[in-house]
Amino acid sequence: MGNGGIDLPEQKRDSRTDILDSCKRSVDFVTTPLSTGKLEFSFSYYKTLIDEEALGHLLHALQASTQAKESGDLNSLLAHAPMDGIELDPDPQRVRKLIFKGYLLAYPGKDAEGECALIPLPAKKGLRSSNETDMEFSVVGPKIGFIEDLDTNIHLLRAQLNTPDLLLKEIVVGSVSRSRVAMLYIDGIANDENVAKMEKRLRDIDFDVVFDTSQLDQIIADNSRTPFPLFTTTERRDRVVYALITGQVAVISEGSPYFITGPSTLFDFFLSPEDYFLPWVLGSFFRMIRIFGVIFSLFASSFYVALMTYHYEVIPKELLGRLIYSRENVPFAPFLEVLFLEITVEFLREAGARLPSRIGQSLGIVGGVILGQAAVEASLTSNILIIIVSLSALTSFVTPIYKMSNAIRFLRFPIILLAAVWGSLGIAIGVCFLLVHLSKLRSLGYPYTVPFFPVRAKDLKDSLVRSSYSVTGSRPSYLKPASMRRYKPKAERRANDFDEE
Amino acid sequence: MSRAWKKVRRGAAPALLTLALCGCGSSQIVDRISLVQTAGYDRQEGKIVTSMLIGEYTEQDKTKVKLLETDSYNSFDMVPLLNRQTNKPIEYGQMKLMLFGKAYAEHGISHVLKMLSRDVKVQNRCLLAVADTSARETMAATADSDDTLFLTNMIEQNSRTAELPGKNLQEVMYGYYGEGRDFYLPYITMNSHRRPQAGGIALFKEDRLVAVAKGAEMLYLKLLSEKTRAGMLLVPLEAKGGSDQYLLLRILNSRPSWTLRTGGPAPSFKIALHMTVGIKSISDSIKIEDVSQAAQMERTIERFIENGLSEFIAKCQKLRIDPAGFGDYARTHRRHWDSEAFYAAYPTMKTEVRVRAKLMQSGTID
Amino acid sequence: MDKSKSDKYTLSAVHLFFLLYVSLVGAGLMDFQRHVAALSEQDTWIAVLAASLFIVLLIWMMYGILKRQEASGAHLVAVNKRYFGSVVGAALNLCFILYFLWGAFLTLRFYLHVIEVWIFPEMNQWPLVLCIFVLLYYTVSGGIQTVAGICFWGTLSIFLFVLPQTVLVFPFLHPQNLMPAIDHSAAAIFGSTRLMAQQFLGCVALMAVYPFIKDGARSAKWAYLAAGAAAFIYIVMLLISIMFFSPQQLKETVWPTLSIVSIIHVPLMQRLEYVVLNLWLLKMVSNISLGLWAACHSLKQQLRVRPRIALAGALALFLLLFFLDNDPGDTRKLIDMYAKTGELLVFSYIPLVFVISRFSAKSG
Repeated sequence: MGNGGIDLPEQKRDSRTDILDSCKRSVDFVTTPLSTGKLEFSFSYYKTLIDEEALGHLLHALQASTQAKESGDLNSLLAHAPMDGIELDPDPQRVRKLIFKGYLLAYPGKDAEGECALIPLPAKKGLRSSNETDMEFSVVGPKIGFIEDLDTNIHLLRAQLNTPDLLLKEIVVGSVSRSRVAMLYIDGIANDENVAKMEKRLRDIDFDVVFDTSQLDQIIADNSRTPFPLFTTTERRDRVVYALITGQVAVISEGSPYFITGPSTLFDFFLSPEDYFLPWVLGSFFRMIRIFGVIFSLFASSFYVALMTYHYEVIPKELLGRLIYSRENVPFAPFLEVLFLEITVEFLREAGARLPSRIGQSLGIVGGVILGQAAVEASLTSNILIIIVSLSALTSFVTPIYKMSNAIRFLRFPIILLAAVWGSLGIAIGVCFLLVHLSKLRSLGYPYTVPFFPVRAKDLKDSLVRSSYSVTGSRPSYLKPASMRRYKPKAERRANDFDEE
Repeated sequence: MSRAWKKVRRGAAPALLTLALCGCGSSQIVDRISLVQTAGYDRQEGKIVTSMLIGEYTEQDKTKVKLLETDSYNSFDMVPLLNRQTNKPIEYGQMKLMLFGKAYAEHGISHVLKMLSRDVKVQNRCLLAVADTSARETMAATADSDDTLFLTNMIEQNSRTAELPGKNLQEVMYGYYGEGRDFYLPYITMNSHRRPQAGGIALFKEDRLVAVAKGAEMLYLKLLSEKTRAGMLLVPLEAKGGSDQYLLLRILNSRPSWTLRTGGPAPSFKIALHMTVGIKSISDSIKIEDVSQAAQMERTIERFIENGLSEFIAKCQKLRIDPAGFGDYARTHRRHWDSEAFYAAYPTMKTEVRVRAKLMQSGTID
Repeated sequence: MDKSKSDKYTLSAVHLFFLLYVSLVGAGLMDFQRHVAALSEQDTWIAVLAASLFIVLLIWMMYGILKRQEASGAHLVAVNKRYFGSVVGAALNLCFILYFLWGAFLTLRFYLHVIEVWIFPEMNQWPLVLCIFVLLYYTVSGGIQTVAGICFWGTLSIFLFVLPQTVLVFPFLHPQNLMPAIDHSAAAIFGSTRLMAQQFLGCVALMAVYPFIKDGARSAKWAYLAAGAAAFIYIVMLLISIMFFSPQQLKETVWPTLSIVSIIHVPLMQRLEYVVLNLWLLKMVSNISLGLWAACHSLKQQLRVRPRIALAGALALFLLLFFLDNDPGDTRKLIDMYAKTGELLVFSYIPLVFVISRFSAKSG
């Protein structure tokens, strides 16, 4: 397959006229006859795809050529056209492709089979002008994000990585949408095998419409039976650039502001660009807090269920009275109580994502505060549990990548179920399952939990903690990059005042 | 074959899940059980009376304390019998104190000890104590104090700041199974206002109560056996001009150091005690103005303590009990220690006690 | 035979540490003190050291055997076939396969027994057993990479969470119990050494795992480190037990390690043995998975049985054994039988093969 995707079989051998005829079935495809006195031209185009202003310029050119009293054939017309990228005598496949990119087919007379030209008049309308990253916000650092237009996105990347080694490959994916999918990597850093693997997987896709790069993520992923994201999804420019310079491959599809980068590891999802903009001590501290928050989010509610249902002996005597009192009059078992609250929180989250912004605020207060308070007053839940559940819902959002926080929020439920059945042993079984599952995951063929397992001690310096820039001069080795050295840090020379005064 | 195998695999997981859900462990939801936190055994007219303190947490910050009791002919069916009186099943995993009545302790507590240590639900940190009259009465006296753990807290607090030993189950079992020592337990008496107080140390031989150490003897036992940083002692001084004069000492730091002179046949120990003491209060007529007077005071204190310790050890030898662990010390410092020979010669064991006390200036001494 | 394994399946040498550690430290950590210290009491630490040195010697011998094979023949099944002929070799291999399975089964039995006594006395065990079987199938069917992964996490959890708890026990220790030193006869110490060495019977798994280690010949240092770590943890547990319990008390306590941990009290929890027992699940699953994997892999090489079918068969066999033999009192007897068989199969066999390999030609 030369250009990825599958051509719709009936149109393999069509001529230009056939293509134009199939387009004419839709009202917004216009064929305008234009006459210049000597010769008549026809312009065929989708009026919803072209830029009206540019069309005006073209008509101007037509006028100019008429006034210039030239031979009046297609070439003279084109000589006055101010656009570049005009294609003469394109073959039917090109016509079919470029008509949808806002090109206009100009041909003399009414017959498109003779000489013709494709004139680019693309319009960029309806794209948002702000590229703020509202999903992945950071307090410090640049906040440049991507928008839904592929060329703008690549422009943003190239503006930061001013090197000819940043290579771009385009693949067409999607039989109906025919979206351009761009694959970027830095030659000399990214391992050729990774690039080849990614390209092969993209070319092998058989799909109809590519809405978003995240769909590609799932289609080309190594394992679809996992809640964990196997490629990093991001709309921030600095994350993509960081991924590229460590040797990952970045993919984006047209019409989507999200890049996916791979191969990624579990710890890539806990990195935040802020860690790198703050001093390394603070960065490491916040990273550890993030990981601790995730663990808390996963296990807090299930520990509550396990302790209250099976293991009352573990509660120290100072907490015992308080816990028992908080559950006084609650008619449900702890498991049902927790389930009720967790599902309420999930409802709040789902509804909150869809509420119109005006109603959202007041409903948020209702949901969060009043529901919680009333539930405690009505003795449907205990107040200690409300603290635990709301804290764990909050901490599930500490991961910078949204997909990972979804996975964590999902995983809480099986663990709560296991805790309700077997108490703390159930939690241990859940942990076992989770660890085995993580050990089995592969992202583009690489193990997911590296550098912890398989153990690579040299790469630990940027996983749980973020070491200072004087230490991170080499790339992580698990991506097998073609070149290991990023930069050479200067040795810190610290003169001691006491010795030298 | 592989398609059928896949179907089996796909169906196995939900089947197992449903199977798993019906086989839950027995749940003990924490607010649907009665938690026993203090329990007691008494012997009355040949029958064993067991009583329990159960807390009800229906109000915030206040616990209602309920006392349950029952009697039977043995010590083992305590829980099922008491269970018949409660609306929530009884669970004793949080039991923090087990109290024995004096009559019961004199009869022997070994089977209860074995039962407790064999039961995994009972914590190793559970405290044990002996009550002067009966356990039931002592526990009933605390029923209005809003705290099911009143006695436990009392014992723990005293063992930290005063002379009482807080012996938890692990240490009691250590002493019970150990050939070189006999264990001892706190002794709870009732004071004149019918309220319990920590009134002494119950000394046990094997598993029977044989004596109670009261007053200064409690401190002597503690000084003898372990390093301590707490405790008070009232030292009588020579009467000058009629009235008795007293000195209230505060033990700041004390470290015993034992030496085994001869292991057998007649064992002989040398016990050296290095203490730092402070004067808490002193009769007005005594003044310590210079170093020689302070040294004199130190000598007085040392002699008093030496006498007290020797008397206490002699008392233990007469009763043939070994709470301080002489046997243990001999076992770890002599090869092939024979416990029988040692304890046969125990009453004739010689101990030489030397105390070195250092007086610290505390407060203003005039 | 197959060539040396492709890169996709091999692990770097450092993982040998975790695999070997898991095979050396088994469920015995919970109650070994009771049996091993019965004879020599406070001198048992000498026995532990002696047993560890013996195991280091065995590991050295195993490396000696394996290094003299060619790359494709450097594992248990091939070594047996080579030195004992196809019939006797096959019989030996089947013995080893059954031995691995038996060890895994006993570990599972023992652990479930502890759980039953300590946490869930009235629970119906079947759903739990089935759930753990699903977990085991899921783990072992991922191959050596997944088994090594779970071994890694198991070891890490033990070192991170269980070892620091030993510090919290210090207020309850009686250091004088360690004295007098060397108070027991050499015979008693030898008896203790023998009992202690039985804890390390899993070391023969090295011979099954060796082909999957990249650059196997130079990975010996990790194996010795694993033996050192195992010795370290056993000695620490032993010393703490001797200092915590009086000698007679130690003989009466069924699971000394758990009793020790149960006295620890941290601000949010009291009976920490609940935490420890549940972290032990991770370690036990790694033990059992390693045994199952070794058995299924060896079965594949001996009889060409597809490993996943062998795995399902082994788990079904376990289920049957559970059903048939539900009396927990038998566990002790079975463990003793396993230990005696192990002495023959491991302690006598390895030196024998080592000597034979020295006299036969080096290949590869």
